[in-house]
Amino acid sequence: MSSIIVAGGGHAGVEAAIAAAKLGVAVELITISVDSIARMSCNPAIGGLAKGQIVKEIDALGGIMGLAADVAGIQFKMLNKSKGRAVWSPRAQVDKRIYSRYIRERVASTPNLTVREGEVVGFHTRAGAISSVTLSDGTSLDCSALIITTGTFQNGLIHIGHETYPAGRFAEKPSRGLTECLIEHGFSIGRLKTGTPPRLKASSINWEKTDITNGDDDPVPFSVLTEKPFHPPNIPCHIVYTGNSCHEILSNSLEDSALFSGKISGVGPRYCPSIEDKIVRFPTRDHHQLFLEPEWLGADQIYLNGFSTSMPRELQLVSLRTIPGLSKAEIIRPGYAIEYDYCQSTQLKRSLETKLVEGLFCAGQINGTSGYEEAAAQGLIAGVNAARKFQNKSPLTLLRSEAYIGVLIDDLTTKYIGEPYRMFTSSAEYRLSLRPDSADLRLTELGYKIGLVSENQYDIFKKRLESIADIKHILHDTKIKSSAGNNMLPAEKELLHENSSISSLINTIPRLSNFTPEDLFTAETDIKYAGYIAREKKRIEQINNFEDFVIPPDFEYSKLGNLSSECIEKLSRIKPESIGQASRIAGVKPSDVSVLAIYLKR
Amino acid sequence: MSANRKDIIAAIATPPGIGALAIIRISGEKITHLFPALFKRNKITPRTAILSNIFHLGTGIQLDRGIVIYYSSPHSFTGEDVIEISCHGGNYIPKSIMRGLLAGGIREAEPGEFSYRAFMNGKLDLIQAESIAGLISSRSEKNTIGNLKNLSGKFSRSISLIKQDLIHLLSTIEHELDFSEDEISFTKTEYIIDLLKDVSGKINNFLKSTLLGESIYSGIRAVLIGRPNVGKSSVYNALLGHERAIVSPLPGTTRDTIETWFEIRGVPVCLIDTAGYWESGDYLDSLGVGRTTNELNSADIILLIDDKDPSKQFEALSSKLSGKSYLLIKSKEDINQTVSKNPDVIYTSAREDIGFNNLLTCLSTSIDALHENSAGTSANFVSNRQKILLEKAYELLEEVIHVTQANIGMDIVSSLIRDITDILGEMTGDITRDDILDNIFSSFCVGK
Ligand SMILES: Cc1cc2nc3c(=O)[nH]c(=O)nc-3n(C[C@H](O)[C@H](O)[C@H](O)COP(=O)(O)OP(=O)(O)OC[C@H]3O[C@@H](n4cnc5c(N)ncnc54)[C@H](O)[C@@H]3O)c2cc1C
Ligand SMILES: Nc1nc2c(ncn2[C@@H]2O[C@H](COP(=O)(O)OP(=O)(O)OP(=O)(O)O)[C@@H](O)[C@H]2O)c(=O)[nH]1
Ligand SMILES: [Mg+2]
Repeated sequence: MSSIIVAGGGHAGVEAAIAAAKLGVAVELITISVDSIARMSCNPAIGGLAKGQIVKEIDALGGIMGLAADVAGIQFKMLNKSKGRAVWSPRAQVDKRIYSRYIRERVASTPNLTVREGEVVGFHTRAGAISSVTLSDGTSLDCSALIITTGTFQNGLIHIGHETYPAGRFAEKPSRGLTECLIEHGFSIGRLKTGTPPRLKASSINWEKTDITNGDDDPVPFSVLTEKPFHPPNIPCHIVYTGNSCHEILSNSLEDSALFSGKISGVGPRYCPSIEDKIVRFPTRDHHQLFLEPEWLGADQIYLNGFSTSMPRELQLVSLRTIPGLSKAEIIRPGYAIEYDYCQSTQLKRSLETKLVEGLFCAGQINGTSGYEEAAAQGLIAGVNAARKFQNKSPLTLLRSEAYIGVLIDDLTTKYIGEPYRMFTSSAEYRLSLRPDSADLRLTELGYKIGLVSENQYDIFKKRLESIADIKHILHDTKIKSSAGNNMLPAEKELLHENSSISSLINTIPRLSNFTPEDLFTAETDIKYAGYIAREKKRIEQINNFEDFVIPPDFEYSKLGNLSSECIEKLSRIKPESIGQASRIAGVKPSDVSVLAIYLKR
Repeated sequence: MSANRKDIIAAIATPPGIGALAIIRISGEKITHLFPALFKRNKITPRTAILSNIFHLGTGIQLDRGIVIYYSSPHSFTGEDVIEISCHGGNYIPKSIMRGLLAGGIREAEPGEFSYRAFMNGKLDLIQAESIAGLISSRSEKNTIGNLKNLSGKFSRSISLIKQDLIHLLSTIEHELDFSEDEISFTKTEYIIDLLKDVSGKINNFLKSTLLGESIYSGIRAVLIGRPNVGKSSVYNALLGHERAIVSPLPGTTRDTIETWFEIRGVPVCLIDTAGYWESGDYLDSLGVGRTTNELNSADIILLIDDKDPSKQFEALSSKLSGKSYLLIKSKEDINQTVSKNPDVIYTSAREDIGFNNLLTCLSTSIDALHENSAGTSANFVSNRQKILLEKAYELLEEVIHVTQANIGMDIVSSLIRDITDILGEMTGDITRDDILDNIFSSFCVGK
């Protein structure tokens, strides 16, 4: 018997299964089709704004997403470079086939991890704790923990115009049973939707009419384990623009869109809107930018980023053909919207174990999130915590001030997710402390302590720590001529000037050339940001009092007549684990928080 | 404080001993059941003053006859049911009514417990609670007006408005950080800077108009200066009415500054005696160092004393005194009589007690003038904590303007703006920190 069962081999499932197995617990990953393990349902890219930060954090904690993206990457780009280093975000265009093949291999070669093809349709509990799962073929398997990572598959329904049919993803059947089982156990379930654009035939595109966008010349890998020098392919992507005639066709046919005809009851993401959504919401814009992204190296299949839609196939084609460069475009697979069940995430503890059933964990799209990276991060945490629970260890939880993953899970466990949750840098109020280049410095130690980070990765981390300290010492001890005046000053002071950079100091201080650009960059940023980071740290200290302030799980809020009934209702339902968490629940006012804090203190 | 108890509390809300009337306040979640025993009535219409006998809850004996007002929950100061009894003052009657209440199982309130309940019930925000604390300890009537102003929430509201502006700006910036360069067009830096400057200007105005609030909280500082041996310490003692400073015929007697508090028409005044400055070419220099200079800088009013010609001394010192409110005092009129008197100078003799009534009147007029000048009618009275927060916010605004102008990074701009909104939130109590709560409520006294 396996101790932990992971249901679903998507991005959450594979991180969960590998992490738990690495920690020495027997894990069985059950998924509908082994071939589709770690399949990328939507865009052929990993990372991006805020998501890139998550990938680096997963890597620092010992997860696999970063490595897979480095292996499969065909174009690397640092986004947001004009806006401050805390919000720079790494992104890679990846070869979907290489990506999932690499992960399949990793899954196959991980000790303690077995894979079974099958569909989980229910689970059973004994004394409030998970005891077994049932598969669609009738098999029953005992387990002490179950991690549900079934993505968009539960009662999935695809919409293409007026066409509607059950599916978990394009050309894959949906799964059933788990939702009903969750409801039986008292969970509340909601419905969300998301969409994907059409895939075009590369040979049908007039490439000359498109703009080219290249990757960075100095690509930075996601994983610290990726060997340097790093020379991935740099395959260009292309850009086209919609125009008025395209908008006209679409807006005249809104009633044909599954989205607008009222057929879909689920709520879609505001930030990744379909093209018909964009046209309705930004009526004054006369064009929208679309990216043509290859789905794999040499692919004849092109992903049309920015044109997510649920219009009927013919209309998709007609409207596309108005776009310069796409006048003869052929659609390989139409865009579609998918509607699916999700399990309200406030029913989770910060460990991602459910509050209602012991040993039951949920991770990924099933929790209402959207995106590979968000799914993988949750999978990692759920996997670690299922294993730690089995080993009687305290759960791993991350604070909002420690990691984007901490922000993600805190948001999930304190807020009602009314639309698919996507990570944004603005969700992180301690962003300066959560730079992408410092992810490894923040989290490797923790990953090592838990047992996920290898000795090799830990050595790399320690060397990097040392190098950064050395660089800072050199900059502290070396006096150079100030650029402003003629006086001599420590190099670190000179660096504080807006226009000075560490690269310009290398000529004056040749010893600096012994260090890697990554280490120089981090040291430089630490120095330039030091004052601001210090201030942010103060803010963090102030709130951490409240984060450490535990509320007993069986606390009766109705005892506190001073709280409004709305507040009592919210707190009783969500059962926050700390005052800090309570303070972030919508509807809980600062005065409620003081009442609560003072009550619990005395 | 027994924050969690929901029992009925009572206290005498007026200062002990003084006044013809005393007020006794009772608060509890439900207190209407007290009416029959306490007032021999079954019902009292809320918010209506009635004349009623007051009885001992234990013995049933009549204790007094007074005005009773009942406020039903939640429309009361504490948000609970509240009874206010205006009874006869003095030492005996209010206390016997209290004893009568305690005999009925009512608990004597702890200091600040009424306000505390009000805060807990959302009837007061942090600034308002703080104002009540200030009201209780305020030394003067003017101070009270300031506190009342805060109590009405006006200051909180203005701060909240400023905070709204910043949050709006922040969300614009955040929105842009959440999209990559090619997805949306960006707000111009100039627009951001204009908005920040506008906010910084408003905060600065607040800071200026709160000076008064501050000077009233901490009192007016009046500093005596003059050459050695001109009789400063003697004037000082005469003003205070007792021998506080040492007087001697030797120049240089006063070596260190001495402070004493007294009150002029309800305003607390801190009178400060200083060491004399030497009459030599360098006496400006002797002013440039030491405590006297510090005192001069922090002074609200300067009393310049001379036993010969204070106007002449004033001319010599004018650069140091510019912009300050001052009074010119001629001392030792008994021995060095002035022939042609200057209307701007106050003539005194400490030995013969001449001119001090006039001096007090002039001092009082200057204080009034100070108030009107610095604040007009829109003054905001803030506590030291609030002022420190305002100053911090202002400093950060200057910094964030610089960071924006120098194009250092929108991530930092956003972080600084978050800091500022946090500070403003701390002022209005939108941000909870338990140390603040504890501090505020610990400074209350019984009955509030
Ligand atoms: C149409 C579409 C559009 C999308 N658009 C976007 C987008 O625009 N932006 C974005 O960020 N993200 C988008 N995504 C989301 C992204 O693909 C997911 O967020 C991410 O893949 C979720 O990962 P997951 O591990 O939770 O689930 P998935 O990747 O969906 O994996 C679930 C896995 O579980 C297996 N499974 C399901 N049910 C069972 C069962 N009962 N028993 C056993 N195995 C089961 C499935 O076979 C699958 O392998 C889109 C997804 C779809 C389908
Ligand atoms: N005749 C007369 N003598 C006075 C009067 N006031 C002060 N004196 C005398 O002047 C001398 C100095 O007085 P102080 O009050 O000590 O003067 P001071 O300016 O404080 O002196 P220092 O502290 O030394 O600078 C003492 O001998 C006082 O008695 C006054 O009104 N009339
Ligand atoms: Mg003296």
